[in-house]
Amino acid sequence: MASAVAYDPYDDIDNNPFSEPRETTTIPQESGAHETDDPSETSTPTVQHENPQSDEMSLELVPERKANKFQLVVKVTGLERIGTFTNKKENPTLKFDVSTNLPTFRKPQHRNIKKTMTEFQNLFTFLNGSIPETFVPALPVAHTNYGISNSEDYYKTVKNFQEWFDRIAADPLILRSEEIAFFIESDFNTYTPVGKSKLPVSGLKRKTLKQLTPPFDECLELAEFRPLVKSIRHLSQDIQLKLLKLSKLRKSVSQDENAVGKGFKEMAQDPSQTQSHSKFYIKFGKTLTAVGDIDSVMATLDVATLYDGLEWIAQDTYVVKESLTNRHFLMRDLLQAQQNSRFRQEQARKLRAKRDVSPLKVDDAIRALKVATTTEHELTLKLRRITANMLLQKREWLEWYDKTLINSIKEYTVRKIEYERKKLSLLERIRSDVRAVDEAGGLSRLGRGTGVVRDGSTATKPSQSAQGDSWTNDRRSRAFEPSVLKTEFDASLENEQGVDEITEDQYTLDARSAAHLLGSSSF
Amino acid sequence: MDYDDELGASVWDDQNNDSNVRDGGELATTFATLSAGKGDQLEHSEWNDDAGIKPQAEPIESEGDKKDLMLSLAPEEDPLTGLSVPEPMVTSEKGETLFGDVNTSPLEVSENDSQKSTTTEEVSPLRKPYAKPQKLFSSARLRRHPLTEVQKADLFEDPLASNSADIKEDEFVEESLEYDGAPEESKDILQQMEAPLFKISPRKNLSSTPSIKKVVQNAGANSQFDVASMEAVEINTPCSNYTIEVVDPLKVGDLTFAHVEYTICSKSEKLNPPEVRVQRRYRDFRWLYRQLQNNHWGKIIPPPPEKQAVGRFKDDFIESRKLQMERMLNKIAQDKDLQDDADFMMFLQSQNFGQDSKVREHLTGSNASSDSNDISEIHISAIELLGQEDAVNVMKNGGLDESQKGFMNISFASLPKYTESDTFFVEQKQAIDILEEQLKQLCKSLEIVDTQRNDLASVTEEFANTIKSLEELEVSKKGSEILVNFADVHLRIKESLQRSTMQEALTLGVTIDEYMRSLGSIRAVFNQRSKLGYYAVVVEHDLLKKRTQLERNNHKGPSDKVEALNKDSRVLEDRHYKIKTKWQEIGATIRKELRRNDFDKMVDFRNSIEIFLESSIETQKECIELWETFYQNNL
Repeated sequence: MASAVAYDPYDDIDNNPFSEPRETTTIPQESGAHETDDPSETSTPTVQHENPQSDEMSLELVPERKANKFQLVVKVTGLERIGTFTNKKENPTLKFDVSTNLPTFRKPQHRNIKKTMTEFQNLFTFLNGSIPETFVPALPVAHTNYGISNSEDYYKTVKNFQEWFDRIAADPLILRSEEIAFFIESDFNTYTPVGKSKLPVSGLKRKTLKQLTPPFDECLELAEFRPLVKSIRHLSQDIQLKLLKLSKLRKSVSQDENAVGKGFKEMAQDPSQTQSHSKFYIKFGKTLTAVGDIDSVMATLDVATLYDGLEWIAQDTYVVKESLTNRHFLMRDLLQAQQNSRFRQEQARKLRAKRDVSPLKVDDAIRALKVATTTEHELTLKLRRITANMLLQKREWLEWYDKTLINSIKEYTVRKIEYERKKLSLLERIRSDVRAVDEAGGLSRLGRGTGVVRDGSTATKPSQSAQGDSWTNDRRSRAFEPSVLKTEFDASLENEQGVDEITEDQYTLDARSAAHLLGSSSF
Repeated sequence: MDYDDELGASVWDDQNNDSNVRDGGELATTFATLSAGKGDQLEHSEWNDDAGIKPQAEPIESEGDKKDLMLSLAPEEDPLTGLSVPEPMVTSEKGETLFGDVNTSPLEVSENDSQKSTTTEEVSPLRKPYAKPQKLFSSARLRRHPLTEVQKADLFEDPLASNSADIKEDEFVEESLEYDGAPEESKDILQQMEAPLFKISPRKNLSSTPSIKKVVQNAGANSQFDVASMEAVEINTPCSNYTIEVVDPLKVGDLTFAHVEYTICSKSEKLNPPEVRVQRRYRDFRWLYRQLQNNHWGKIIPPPPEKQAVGRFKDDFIESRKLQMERMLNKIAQDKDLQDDADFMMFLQSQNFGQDSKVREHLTGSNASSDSNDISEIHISAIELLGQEDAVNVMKNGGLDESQKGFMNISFASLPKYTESDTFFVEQKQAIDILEEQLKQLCKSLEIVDTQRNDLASVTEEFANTIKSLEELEVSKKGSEILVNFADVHLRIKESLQRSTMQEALTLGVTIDEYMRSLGSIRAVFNQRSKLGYYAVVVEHDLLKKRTQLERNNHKGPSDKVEALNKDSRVLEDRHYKIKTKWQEIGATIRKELRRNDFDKMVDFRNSIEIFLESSIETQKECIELWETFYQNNL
């Protein structure tokens, strides 16, 4: 028998009409499980629930996470850079609108708020010091490697800040900090932290303490998390370094490629060459130069996409790592407090064993014991709260890390493809010239297709089109962008050709001016 | 007599018809009539317009006819070449007609036959005498090089024939005008009268020029090719039946005398056993270069690779040198003048090269083994210049310019100086200097690009490895999967980068390198000319001195001294004449060579540019494909 479907030994079981369909039995169970999870899910929708019980417990410890009643919606609307290319490029001014139902705010709507980068930095340092339970998202870079004052940089920075605000707004602990309100409701360029916050340990002491072996951590997950984060940081910095080196090299290669192109152009000036050839050399040289330029653009884009993405990751990992270190310090404190209370207890017991004691001493001892136990208790609670929140945060953070990394790789790839395609179209454009200049070239090397090339049917057609790429049958997952057939350097290639093209260009409009002419702004 | 002729003709025709019937039958004959009736002019123009269509239109025709047609059309560029070259060539081509007549059944006769059948009988008698004299002419012309009395004799016989030509084949006359314009020699009426005859024979001639060449020529004639390139095409027709390979580089000798020996495998009809393998070392290639330089003054000899003292035994160096030497040999083998050179043959064949090379060197006085580093430096062999006997005398005195050096090599008189009189050479020299500078620059930047690209490749690899180590943390499954693939893509790109870099070095790099070295060779040619010019000046100087001496002595009356001086001055005069002619010859050769060289280099450059471009397009496609695949699978 010739059946297209492979024989499946379990086929008959499935076909049994009397057997209960599997789906129907499994689905209710799953949905039931879903329902039980639901209340917790409403508070932390992004967290996955492998162990709902510990989540319940942690939610008790972190009651802010339970009810998702407060909202902060920030929309970054714009970016201003005061200053020039060289001056103050680190200090952009963000414009954004806020709408919230937080009681700490005086009014629910705020429009057109402007904040400088320094203000953001102040807020960040405060938050980082005042909320030990959470990983405060690191600020995005103030300027991208696209270079300053271009649209790419603008959109990217705005997008980054939007993402930062979203992350802030997603964290209920940060939301409840009234400093957010202070920050947003203060005037432009006047915000300084109102409350006091400082890291538990700082300066030299912090450095020395970090050298010690971390205290025993009963929460294995977090104990493992810190070294992981640390190596992520180190590795991404390493990658950044390599990437930078790569792009520097690529830039210098592109310069040398330009030099080669120039060499060809100069050769064209040689009077001994015939006219047609010198033209051809010029064109070839120009193409090589343009290819070199594209390489240099690619180098910039490499840095601007992947490097910047990794930069944020590296900074964020630093914050995460330090928060985890702070937790270690807290654990140390707790150990000390435990020791202290034990010591106090010992003292009290000793006092009780003595026959004649002054009541004054007893009072003292009892008070000290009470203090010691309360601090111990407080610290224990605090640590448990921190641990619980961090466990939740860890998952969120890992997700964010994954997303950011993948996004920047994606961006990198997309730009790479775009410019490699441009390079290809550049090279292909000169192909017909190379063929035309040489009757013995191309297919005629093999003894066929002599006259065909001249007509330019096959050779001049670009291999990339909306129908896909000529060298493969696969359809691309993304739509074809006709922009790849043009490059920024076309002008340099064509400038010696006729005036008519230029006049043609005069009447072409870009989208913005077209919209303007039509009287309706598209923005 | 007529009858006889007719008989003869019919015999020819019979043969021809037989073949026609066998092959193509009537169509062939009708076509022949067509071509004859419409006239060659039409046909000619058709061929000019679209050479491709005709053969398709008549595939029914027998192959034999086709060939005949092709051949009859092919020679149409021949008259051009033939006429641009002085007369004798043409006459010799006429001789070919005879051959054609004898060996194969020519179209000519069949056409005559067909015309005979179509035209009235009154014409045919006129025609037949014509057909016969034609043969006579050609046979006569073969003997006749100078155009004097014999020509006139021809004329006396001609009137009828020329008349008939005028009446029936005016198209020939037209063509004759066309051709007359080109050579500018046959403005003589007599020659014009003859012209049709000239046309008939080469046109219908069965010469064996390849048809491709004809197409090129036609295109050239139509689209006004510049003359230089046309000539270059002629020059450039590759006539090599050599296949030469340099293989198996082998390190030979102990530490102190170590060198690399290469095996040269050459195959050719011209070699005695058609396949030879010999061992040569680098030094021998240089010897060959010098020797050829000496044998062919003014020719641009394909240069050997540069000398290199350090790192001679590195693999990639040997490999590239092997390639360069192979190219050198192939270039030599492709050159019409060089491929038959005795020294070249010896180089390819001799099993005892050390001895043979010494012998040859001594015979020619080339001084080839005392080879300086600089390719452009030259040595003018006195033997080659002055002939055996005189050279011996000159050598005895220590060279041509010895007389200028006084006692103890200190010269008191001001040395005569040679200044290049022809602006062409001065300009060319300057152009070459500029070109060399540019090429050097280009080469340098290419080299830098090459090293930078290699750096880029290694850094890319590092980058990929770092990404891999980030992946090894296994933060998340999806993330690490993407990272692995990301690193893989980078590794692949690194490979393709290395490949394309190598490709670039092999195409553009090698071509530019060769171009630069051949500039050295060109410079050597210029040096030869200026050296010869210098010798000429020196000898002239000597000659003048001798003559004044002679005159002074003549006043005193005849004596032994006068006789000796007379003899000396005669020798010097002779020498001067020889040198001068050589000098002029070399000038002419250089011009031709330069044009050829320019063309060659242009072709080389174009080829390498095309290869470079194609390969970089392919690399680019590969790169895009890699990224697209990555995108599709992971993002």
